[in-house]
Amino acid sequence: MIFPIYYLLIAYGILMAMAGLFIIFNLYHILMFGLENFKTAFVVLLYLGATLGIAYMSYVLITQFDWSGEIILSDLIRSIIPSIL
Amino acid sequence: MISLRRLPNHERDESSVLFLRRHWIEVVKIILIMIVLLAIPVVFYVFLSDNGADWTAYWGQFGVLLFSVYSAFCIAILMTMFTDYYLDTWIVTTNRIINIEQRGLFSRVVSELHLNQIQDVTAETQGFLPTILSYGNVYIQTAGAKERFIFKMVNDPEIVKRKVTELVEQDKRRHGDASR
Repeated sequence: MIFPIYYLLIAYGILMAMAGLFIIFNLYHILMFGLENFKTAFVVLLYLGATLGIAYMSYVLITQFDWSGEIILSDLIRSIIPSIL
Repeated sequence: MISLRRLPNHERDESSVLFLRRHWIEVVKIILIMIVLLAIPVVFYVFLSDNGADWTAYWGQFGVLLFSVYSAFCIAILMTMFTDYYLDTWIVTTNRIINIEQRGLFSRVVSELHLNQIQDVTAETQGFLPTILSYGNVYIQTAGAKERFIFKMVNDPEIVKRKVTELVEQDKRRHGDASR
């Protein structure tokens, strides 16, 4: 089975959007229900920092590769088996 | 956001005395879970590399996507655990106790109790770490619809108990005893 490798990016985008939604819900709860003080501001900055950190790290890792090619599923499976066994 | 100067149903002459959260040991547990979760892909990477995995081919791209998604979900889960810890609070004022319980992301319970309804206050410290680090539970026995409030894993439960008892006595002198 052969498919363009960018199909993986579509699945990746969907999963990252789901994770992003959870992160947004967390930020919303802290902003809505947290106590008005410095600690809450620090927690919000921490959350934003962690989110940006993950986004930046993902960007750096993903842009290393060429996503315009094709992938052969059987080759993909065959390439990992020697490492596991 | 909640302000201690503008609490919900703020009463006249009311001021906040105690603002309590669970002990910081809960944060340490979250951090340890984070370290373990983030170490798992590193262990896999080292194991597979030692066994000849070729990261320049398909598995480099696939592995990067997997790692990125895994990290994002780990961060989301850890944030949820921290939000649950951070938003669980107990506010003791000169007139009442406000119990705010965050249960996951989509459930929140806020209850309040007037001090003159309190019948009994008990502090409990159980276990090695709680004894060394001085944290535990404070149980507030009430005459209200909800029979017991529990301050879970708060710092210095004995001091909290003493403070709440003092406030209850002062409030009962002002407003009478509604706990019988």
